[in-house]
Amino acid sequence: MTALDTSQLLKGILEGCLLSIIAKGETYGYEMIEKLEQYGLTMVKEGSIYPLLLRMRKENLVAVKTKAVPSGGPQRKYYYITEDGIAALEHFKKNWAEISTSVNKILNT
Amino acid sequence: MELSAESREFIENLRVYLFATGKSEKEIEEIVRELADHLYEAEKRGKSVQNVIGMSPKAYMEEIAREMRFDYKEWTKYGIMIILGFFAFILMNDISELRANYSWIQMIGYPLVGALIIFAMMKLFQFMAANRFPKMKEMMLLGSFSLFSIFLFVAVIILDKRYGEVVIEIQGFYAFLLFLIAAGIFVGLALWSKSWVMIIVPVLLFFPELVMRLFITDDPVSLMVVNFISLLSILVVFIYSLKSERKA
Repeated sequence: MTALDTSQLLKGILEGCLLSIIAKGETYGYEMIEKLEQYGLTMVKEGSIYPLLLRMRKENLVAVKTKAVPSGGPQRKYYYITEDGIAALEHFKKNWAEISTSVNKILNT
Repeated sequence: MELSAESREFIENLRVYLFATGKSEKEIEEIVRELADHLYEAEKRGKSVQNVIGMSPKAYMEEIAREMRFDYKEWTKYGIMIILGFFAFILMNDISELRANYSWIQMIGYPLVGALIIFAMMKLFQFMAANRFPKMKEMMLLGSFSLFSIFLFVAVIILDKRYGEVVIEIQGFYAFLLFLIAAGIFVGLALWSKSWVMIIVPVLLFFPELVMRLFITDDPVSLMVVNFISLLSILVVFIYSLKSERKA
C-alpha cells in the first residue's frame, strides 16, 4: 500500500464502501447514501459521492444504465459493478484488512 | 418535480460552469439530472443544498469538473460552426448592402485565416485535453487564442483597406447564389443547434435592409431607421426566448 494523504485515504475508504454497496445490486445515488447511513456512516457528505462515482465510472469500475423510476417519474441513473470493479473491491478488502488489523493493534496496545 | 429556488440556482450554475470548462453536453446533462434528482430527495427530508454538498458551491463544482474530461471534439465542432456562421454573416451583410465586392486580399485572407484558426483551435484543445492545466491557465490560453483570432481578422481588414483592389463584383445571379449559400449555412446551423435563433436573427437583421434597398429606397436615414428597428426586434426576440426558456 502506497503512502496517502488523509483526504485521499478517506476517499479511498468511501470508494471501497461504494463499490461494496454497488456490488450487492444495482443502485442509484440517493439510495447509496441511505445505505451508508444504515451502516452508520453518517459523517459522509452526500454530495461527495458524485465526484467519486464519476471517477469510478471513468476507471471502468462501475457502469450505468438509465431506467424509469418505478412510480413513473423521470429517468434515473442506476450504477452496477463491472469485472474491473469486482477486482478493485477485492483489492480494497485486502488492503483494508491489513490497515484495520494494524490500526486496531496500535490502538489496543 | 419541484426543487427549491436555491437548488435550482445551484443546478443552473453547475450546468454553466461545466459547459464553460468544455465538458461534453451529454455528460453535463447526466450529472446535472442526477444531482437534481438527489437534491429533490434530500429536500423532501428537509436538507438544503449546503447540507448535501458540504462545501462551497464553487469548490464542489471544481471537484465535479475535475472528474470530467475536456471534450475537444465537441468544442472543435462549435468552433467550425462559429466560423461558418461568421462567414455567413459577412456574406449576408454584404449582400443586404448590395456591395458584394471582394479583393484578392479578402478572398484569400478570410478562408486562410479561418482555416488557420480552426487548425490552431484543434491543436490547442488537444494540447489542453492531454495536459491537465489549472483553470486559470486554461482561461488564459483560451483568452489569448481569441485575441489572436480577432487580430488575424482585423489584419485582413486593414490590409484590404490599404492595398485591396476589388477584383470581383458579385452581381445578379452570383449575388443570388451567395445569398443561397449564406442562407444554407444559417439553415444548417439552425438544424444543428435545433433552435430558430440562427434563422430568426439573420432574417430580422438583413431582410428588411435588403428589401428596402432593392425595392424602396437607399436613403441612408431610412436605412438607419430600418436597421435600428431590426436590432430592436432581435432584442425583443432574445428577451422573449429567454423568458420562455425559464418557464420550460
